[in-house]
Amino acid sequence: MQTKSKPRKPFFWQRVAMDLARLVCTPLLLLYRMKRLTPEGKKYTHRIHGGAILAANHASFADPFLVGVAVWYRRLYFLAAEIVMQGRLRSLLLKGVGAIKIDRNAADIEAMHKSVDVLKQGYLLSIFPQGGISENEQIETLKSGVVLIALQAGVPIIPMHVFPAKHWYSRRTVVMGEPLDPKAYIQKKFPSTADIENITRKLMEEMNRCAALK
Amino acid sequence: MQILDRLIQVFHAVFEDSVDISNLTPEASLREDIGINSIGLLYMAMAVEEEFGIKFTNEDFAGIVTVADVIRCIENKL
Repeated sequence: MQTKSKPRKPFFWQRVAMDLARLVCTPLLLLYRMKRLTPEGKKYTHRIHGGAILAANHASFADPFLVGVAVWYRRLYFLAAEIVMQGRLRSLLLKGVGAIKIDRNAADIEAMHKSVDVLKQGYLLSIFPQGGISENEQIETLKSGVVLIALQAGVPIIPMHVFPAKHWYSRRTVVMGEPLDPKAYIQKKFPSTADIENITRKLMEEMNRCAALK
Repeated sequence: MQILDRLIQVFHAVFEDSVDISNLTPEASLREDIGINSIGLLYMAMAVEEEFGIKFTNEDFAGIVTVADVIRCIENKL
């Protein structure tokens, strides 16, 4: 499922701001001594190329930074709830570093379009598909918009799990699973609601597989 | 082919048997008569965009209540 629109490029100052944010976040990699693992417990050495969605659990406000640190070598956009983007200065700063505002209480089709555009440009997009902060280790429900965006942009979804830490300085572990290609599950021109829900369930299983690492 | 006919085809493809397409008349309310929820509306919008080569805005979306509203919106963008 593809739209015919021309993808929108990030403007120059946004690219500068995103790179500055990466420069600030990268030392956190050392501070957190972050372990990036596969669901089998091996070291995750794969470099992500091209457009992809990073779908992670959301247990704390630190998660967006930790996802960014896990892929420090790439520019990263992220979906941010409207409540996080309140205030002109905060909104400007967050947009500058790649935030795409989404209204969680409405069918925000413009946020979907913006997300698809950046993915088509070959960027990474971080989404927390639980739709809010949840401290449950096991994911029980996911919003299916993540699958809709991936299908529209024709990109894979990389399931992730960010393990919470006891202290801010504790060593952090991020588990990154195999990319899930939603297109591989669709044989028709238009995916049905049942197709999208099935892929969402599959993604949830993969995210829970990442969370199961002890 | 009329816009309504193409729209019916899109609805069939997207919703299969999960909503009652037999109620798909221009006057039908998407939520109340056909039973589409907000995520269903997004599925529908994405498929309509693909079928007609258009893009909806949030403003368009806020004004869509009935099937006739969808048709009017498509006509304005074609």
